[in-house]
Amino acid sequence: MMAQPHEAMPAGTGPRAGATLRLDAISKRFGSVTAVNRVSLEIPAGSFVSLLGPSGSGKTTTLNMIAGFLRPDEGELYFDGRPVANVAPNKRDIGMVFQSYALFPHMTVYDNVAFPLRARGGLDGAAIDRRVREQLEMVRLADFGERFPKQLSGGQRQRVAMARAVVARPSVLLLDEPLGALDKNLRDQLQGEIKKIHRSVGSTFVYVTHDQSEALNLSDLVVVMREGRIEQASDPRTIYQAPETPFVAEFMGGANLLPATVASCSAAVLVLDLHMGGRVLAPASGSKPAEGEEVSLLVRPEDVLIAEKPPADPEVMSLSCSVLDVAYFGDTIRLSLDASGTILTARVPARGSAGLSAGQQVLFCWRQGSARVLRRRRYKP
Amino acid sequence: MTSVGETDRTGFSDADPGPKARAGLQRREHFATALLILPVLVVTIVFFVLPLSMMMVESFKKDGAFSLAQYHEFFTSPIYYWVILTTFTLSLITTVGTLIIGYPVAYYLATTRSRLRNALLLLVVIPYWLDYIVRSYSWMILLGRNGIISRALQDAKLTDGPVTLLYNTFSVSVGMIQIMLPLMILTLYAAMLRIDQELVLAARVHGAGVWRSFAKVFLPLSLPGIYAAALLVFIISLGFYVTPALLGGPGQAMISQSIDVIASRLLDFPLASAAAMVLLAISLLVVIVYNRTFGWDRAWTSPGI
Ligand SMILES: Nc1ncnc2c1ncn2[C@@H]1O[C@H](COP(=O)(O)OP(=O)(O)OP(=O)(O)O)[C@@H](O)[C@H]1O
Ligand SMILES: [Mg+2]
Repeated sequence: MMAQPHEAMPAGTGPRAGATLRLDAISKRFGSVTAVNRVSLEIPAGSFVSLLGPSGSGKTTTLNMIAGFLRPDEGELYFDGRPVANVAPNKRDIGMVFQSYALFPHMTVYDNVAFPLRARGGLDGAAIDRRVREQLEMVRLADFGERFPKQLSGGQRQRVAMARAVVARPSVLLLDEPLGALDKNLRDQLQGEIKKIHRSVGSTFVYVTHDQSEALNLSDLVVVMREGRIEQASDPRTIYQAPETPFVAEFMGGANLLPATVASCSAAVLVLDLHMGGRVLAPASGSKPAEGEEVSLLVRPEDVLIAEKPPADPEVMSLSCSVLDVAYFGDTIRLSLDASGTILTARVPARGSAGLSAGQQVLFCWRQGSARVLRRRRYKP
Repeated sequence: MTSVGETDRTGFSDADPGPKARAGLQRREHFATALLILPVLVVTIVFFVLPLSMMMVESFKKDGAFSLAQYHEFFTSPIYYWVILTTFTLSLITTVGTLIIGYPVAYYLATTRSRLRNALLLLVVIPYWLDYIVRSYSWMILLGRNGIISRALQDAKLTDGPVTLLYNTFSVSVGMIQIMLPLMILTLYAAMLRIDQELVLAARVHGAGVWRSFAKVFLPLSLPGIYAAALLVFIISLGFYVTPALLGGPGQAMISQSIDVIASRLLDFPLASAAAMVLLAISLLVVIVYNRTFGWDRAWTSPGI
């Protein structure tokens, strides 16, 4: 089904493997709003990159500049080292899946998928026909060629949009929240298909989403955006386990972030005054904060231990709190805790935690070394 | 159903109004709808259906009895044959002319992000507010023997004496096109606004140049708008009266003028009625044939199979 992805390539449509993409300090302003603010990013050929961020963080604007719909006010874009600012969208060798799919309503599924091949030229009718049928087969829509988009379900439309975007084997594929309009089950299923298509076509995929699990699941590189800037660009594991800023940690979800002031930073271990009360130790990893600096302490729910008596080990930090809610997840349970007004989350093994119930007073503990100190990102004005 | 009855008896009836109450509600809604439609219905009957029926009856009467004499006269007289042909020709010229001029304007209005858009829209609409007669007279000033164009041509020594560009097919066409242009532009513009611009971007990003994405995506998507606007302009043009009367000669007489002549000069009301019925029948026929011919776009504009 997904065989010979690289041999049936149409001639004259540029290089077949994915392109390297380089964004060099690109900015875009709309009136007084700076939608994208000096974004620099290097995307390796053939990789899968996610742009992740809250609404209005500039993801679509970035994508539209890569597509050539918008021209950066500043900075330059390079495809395989070539600047493309003056290259029209149709000359950039890209494919795109729009959030609303943007299927041509007056064309059949077949004609929609054939469109990029016909528009790019260089193939005769028989070759186009073969490519379109192959592609429809690949997205399991072989029998739907004669239908109009209006006659398809949401998931089917999504697959037509996908087929149209990759049929010409573009070197770059842009996807703007391609699964945003679908329900959860369908999203999970189509994520797998998108991944499969990425492997078989070999294009560089740039994927916009505001669903962090989608980004973590699909990508080689996750780019977290905030207010038009890149907050962090790392592989999924690093983004999740070692977020660089409180914003990233919060956006990836689930983590406990305790605001604190640095009391002392002379030794290898930092001393923090938690805003909620209490003094704790924390490891000094990465760039060292200054004394008096406002930071956030990140404690992952899975690193939390629940105890009834204060621990003897000086390496274990603890906060007293009351249990708000207990939720069972088979092998683990998730606790919501209230530590003098701050809501904390813990995920502990179900075995041995049977006695926990709402209202109980417990200690929220973690090993000093498992926490991370996150500094706020400071931008040059 | 029994549970509904029970809740009714126990007094918790506002949770579910029950089938009877629901039916009552529906009846009341129907009544409200009927009440809202009533004024339109009355106006339509009094000012439209009644006079039309009376005219229809009149057109089939001769000396108090049923007769096809008027229709026979109308269709056998070469004059009226020519009048109908002229009416069709002028309406067609007007439709094509306004489409050719109006399409690019509407396209610009619908796709531009420039701030000029509202100003341009206003320019399009203003002439629409002016009376037909005023606009037709202004063309007489421009095109007449002592008109601006004639003087300019004489000043430039391009002609020996004064020329008149009036009282021919050209002058009537120009007048009619100018009058119908706002309607064409506004109808097209409204239809084009409904075209998702993202579709054009999708065409561009998938390899189509500016021209190809217009020809393969925007233009076909604007076809329903073109059909609607062209039909509207054509049907309205069929009934034109003032403009051909002022700007045209006897050769440009349209059917409405003929009806006027038959009724107010010849005082032959039955024949005038018959002519009016013919105009109506032609208009209806145009609509029906047109819808049959250009109805194919419904395949993709309506949901479902
Ligand atoms: N054409 C435009 N004109 C004016 N402002 C715009 C335009 N496009 C985007 N913006 C602004 O730029 C900022 C970034 O918008 P963008 O669409 O890139 O966000 P996004 O990250 O894609 O958000 P979402 O997740 O909601 O799609 C927003 O503040 C938005 O209001
Ligand atoms: Mg967006």
